[in-house]
Amino acid sequence: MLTVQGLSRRFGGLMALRRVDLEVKRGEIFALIGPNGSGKTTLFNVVTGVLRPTEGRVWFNGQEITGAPTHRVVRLGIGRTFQTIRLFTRLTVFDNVRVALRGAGSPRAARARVEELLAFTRLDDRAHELAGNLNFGEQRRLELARALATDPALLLLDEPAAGMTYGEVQELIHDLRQLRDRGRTIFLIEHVMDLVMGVADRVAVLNFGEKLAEGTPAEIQRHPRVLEAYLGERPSDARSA
Amino acid sequence: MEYVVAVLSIIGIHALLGLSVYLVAITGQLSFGQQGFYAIGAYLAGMATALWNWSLGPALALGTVAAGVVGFLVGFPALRVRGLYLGIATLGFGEIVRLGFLNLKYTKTIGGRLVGPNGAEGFRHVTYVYERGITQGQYLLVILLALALVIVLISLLERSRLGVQFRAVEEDEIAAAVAGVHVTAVKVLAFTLGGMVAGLGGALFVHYSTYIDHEMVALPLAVSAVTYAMLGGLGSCWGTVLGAAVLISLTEGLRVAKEFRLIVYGALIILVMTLRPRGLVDERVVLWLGGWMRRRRWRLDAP
Repeated sequence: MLTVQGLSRRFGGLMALRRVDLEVKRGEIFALIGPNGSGKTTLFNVVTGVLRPTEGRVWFNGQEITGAPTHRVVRLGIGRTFQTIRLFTRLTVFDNVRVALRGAGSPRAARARVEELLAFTRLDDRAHELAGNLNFGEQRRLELARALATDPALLLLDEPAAGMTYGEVQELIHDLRQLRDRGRTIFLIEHVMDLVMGVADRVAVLNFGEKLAEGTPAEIQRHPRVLEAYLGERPSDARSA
Repeated sequence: MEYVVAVLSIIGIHALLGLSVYLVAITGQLSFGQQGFYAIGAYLAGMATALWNWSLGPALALGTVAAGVVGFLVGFPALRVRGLYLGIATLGFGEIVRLGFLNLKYTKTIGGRLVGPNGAEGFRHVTYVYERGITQGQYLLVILLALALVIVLISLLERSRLGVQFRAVEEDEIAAAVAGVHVTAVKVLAFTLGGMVAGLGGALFVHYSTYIDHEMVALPLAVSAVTYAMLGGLGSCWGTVLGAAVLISLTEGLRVAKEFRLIVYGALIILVMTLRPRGLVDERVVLWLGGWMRRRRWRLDAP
């Protein structure tokens, strides 16, 4: 569904992404993990047209979207949330979702669709509040509702569980499974391993802009290069080096 | 009575100019150049009635559309600059227009009088309204009708999804793009609409005053226009109308303070902006009023 080929992005002297290849398949939950600064968010920014790649190409459903403007990428069916929440704080909760609504038809249908999305994210009783007045967990859920309003076939979530309590993470796991079962493909960046290991069908690991490994959660947990990137070299290896 | 009609006419015309700043400001663009569109509307509509014998309606439409076309063209370079830099760039645009009209000479002798833009002399004898015996009071109605139409259209825009997209662009362009908003289209549209509203204001003004020159569309007018919108608040177009009404009534009402007038005026602006940084009618006021009206309707609906 989403194919990333030989993708590189340079910021001055820093290679944030180095010839990354990825393939997200329709109907799966694909997780991208890696230490801070390994290029995960840069990858999302390049895919959604917020940044242009230095090299490489991106395809979505067989159509090349390399360097396409963000709103066009979104209209083709890629929705996204941000690592640091970016809501329209001076708009109401309702309008934050309505602004992104696509293909709902009549005003009445649009209203019903917004209400449905707010119900799904358990924000229906906050609809007429300014988004800036919501608490952190609510703001995260509103970002999800706004991304869903664009009716994305592929949903990119940048650390959706960051700062969440254990209970909230369990709720999120439940929501993500429900979204997948309703036919949405999910591509997420995450540090919270409970979430990654709990919902991901496949996992890829990024380190210093390069893809280290790819596989099922179980394979990744045992992968020697991944352990090395996260925990450092094993003492025996260090001695021999 | 004549005095009240005159003040109300000026409030109506300046409210239109303020609304043109407002339309652009709610997409996050600060413009000190809306008086340029106002000047284009004024000169063109004035030439239409005074030189080409058009009637008032088509002349107002011409001023509105011409300023809108220029607004559309200004919208594109405006995309490249933001915030204070955009303020300076738009000020540059306003000055270009002003100096253009300072140097424009296009006159005809009609009935023994030299009519038309005449360089630094200005553009005299836009006498359509007086020749047809339209009274000041009747012309005030024309102004208020135009203002009411603009307010209705902007209110409809604000309730629509497009209006919400305007405000989304103001707060965060990247988040707006990710919500599927065509940011470029929204910003250029705002400049186009803003240009049209300012053009209409100018077109109404020149027929009210019968005269316009380049000094009347210089920097002080830009500052007034921005102040109406900022002091009135960006929560609703009514804020700008209120801002224009309050500020113009103040300048008039403070005449008793003689030379201290402008000091008091400035101090009041500082006070309001300190207490209400997003203006008198900000988003919170609008939300509170909306909630109040919903509750009222609910109470009325209840048996």
